[in-house]
Amino acid sequence: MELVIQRLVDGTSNGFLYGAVALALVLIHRSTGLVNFAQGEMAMFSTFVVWKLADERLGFGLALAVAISAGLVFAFLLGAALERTVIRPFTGSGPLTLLIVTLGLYLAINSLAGYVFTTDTERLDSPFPSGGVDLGGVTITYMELGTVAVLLVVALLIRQLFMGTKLGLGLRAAAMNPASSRLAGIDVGRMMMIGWGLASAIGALAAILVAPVVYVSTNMMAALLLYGFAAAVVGGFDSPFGALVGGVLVGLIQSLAAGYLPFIGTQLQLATAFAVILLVLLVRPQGLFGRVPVERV
Amino acid sequence: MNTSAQRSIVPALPWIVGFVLLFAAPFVLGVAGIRGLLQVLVLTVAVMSLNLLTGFNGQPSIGHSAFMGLGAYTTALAVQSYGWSYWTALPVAALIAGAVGAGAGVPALRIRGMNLALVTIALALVFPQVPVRLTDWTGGTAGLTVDESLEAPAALGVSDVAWQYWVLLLIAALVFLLIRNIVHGSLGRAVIAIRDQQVAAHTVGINVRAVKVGVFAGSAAIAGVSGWMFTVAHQFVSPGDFTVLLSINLLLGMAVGGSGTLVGPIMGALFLYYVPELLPELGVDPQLTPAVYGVLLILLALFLPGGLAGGLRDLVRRLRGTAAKEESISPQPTLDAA
Repeated sequence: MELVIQRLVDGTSNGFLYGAVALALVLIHRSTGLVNFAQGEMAMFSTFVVWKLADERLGFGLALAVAISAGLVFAFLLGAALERTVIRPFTGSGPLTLLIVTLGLYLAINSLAGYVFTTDTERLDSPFPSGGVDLGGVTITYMELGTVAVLLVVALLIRQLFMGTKLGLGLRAAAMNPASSRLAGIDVGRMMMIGWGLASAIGALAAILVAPVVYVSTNMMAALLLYGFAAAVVGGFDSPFGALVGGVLVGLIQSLAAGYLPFIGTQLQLATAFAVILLVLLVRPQGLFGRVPVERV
Repeated sequence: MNTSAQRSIVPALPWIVGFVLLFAAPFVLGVAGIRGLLQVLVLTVAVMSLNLLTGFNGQPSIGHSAFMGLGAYTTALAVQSYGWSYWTALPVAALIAGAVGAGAGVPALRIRGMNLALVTIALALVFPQVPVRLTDWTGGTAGLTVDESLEAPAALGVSDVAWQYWVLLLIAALVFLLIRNIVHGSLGRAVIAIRDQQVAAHTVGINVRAVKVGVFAGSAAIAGVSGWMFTVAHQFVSPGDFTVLLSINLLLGMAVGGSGTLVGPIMGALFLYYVPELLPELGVDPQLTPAVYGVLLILLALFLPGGLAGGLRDLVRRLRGTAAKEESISPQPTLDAA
């Protein structure tokens, strides 16, 4: 019994991380209508910035809180800059072109990170204390608690930003109908940049939170990105709320499948993400909370 | 393009000359040069398979590294662990990759555009984990070395490397002819029509489902053949050879050469093999090669969406002064929005 609960706890905590990556993907999909395959690499690069600022041996040895704040600001600026310089010229291009562009970004950022920082695997300390709470055989680590708490707060803040502020209104309007928004005096370009910046910062936050577990390396995000895709597909690519729910679902499925299906073991856990993506797209392509697209011929 | 001149032998002449020159390469180049050309041939067939699916049929795939890996691993296991010959392994490698491709093609009927890209990138990310999971059988991350090489018949008295080169060259030429004939036939028009306007293609009586699944399976089978060629050329396979980066590189090769063109994949493969060799000599850190690739992908998408082949075609037309009159074939595959 304890083992089941332990797996559920671990799955939920991982699920929040997947949900955060999915949230980043959804924000970009809503604002620019593309699936950002470079999301993971942008987050990885930002995490390397945090590592560089915080590491005492190879970096500047700043306090972790300072380094993380700076890393998040960097991630925001990186996202905004990429939108302006790389994505903007392709406004109105077909999905295959956008796919190729984000894959190009993937390659470029991945290799630049190895060149600028290191191709080695590095350690980044967790912002949370080690150890955990023991609840009758089930251990909830402070890292898990902290991760869930931070991401919940961020999700609420994002919701508040979108639903309760004028900036959020502009962001939603620009995503929903750029032409009319422009006529209403909204600076759509700026909204797109802010949307990308926010998404980039959220993705970076997920990467920074997961870094103490998977370590910092140029391919640290490969698995997390795929789980993030799965979470976004489950929730529907249009729904920020769905992204978080999808993340938790994917985390639970992964944790339980790895625990109870002997064939999957530790190595094939990624296959659960593949199975989830395939199944959801076959049975309910719009996801749990997404809109059904109307096809125009 | 469909003029009667196509039936005469004249337009085929450059191809025949080129093939003869390539055929003679082992007598001129050293072993190192031939080994390089082996890589180019492997890449050519891999990019051709992707181009058939993505370039001509408009179904994006980031999963071709997985199909290629399936073919390569099938071959390596069959030859090394089960003592088959390379020749018996060839159809099996193609069949297994093709069967998995058909399996992936059926959901592709419902899953289109970006979503298909998601499914195939998931396939590409999961595939390298499979040999690791089956380490006892496949050697895991350390890879699997194949001791036997594809040997030349003793009667010919040529070196194994030269023989391997001719075999791969012949296969690449056959795949090229196959795709060329498909594309120029009625099937090819159906394939391209589905890319350009699926609903309209359906309306004029094209069996969209059958064509799409068939193209997916065929493309995967050809990728499996390129995997077989990979094992012949390397006699070694490892999970690291078939990561998602390979898939992205193949897409780059397709975009550089010109997607939806026949010669594009050849130029793309030459690019993929020789540019990493050239970059260090230009003073670029080899570690930055993927960065150069990535930036190039983006610049190409912006300035030369038709790739080298499309650019050359436009140039030739402009020189002939027919650019305005002739209706240009859309160089850019369009996709239904997901």
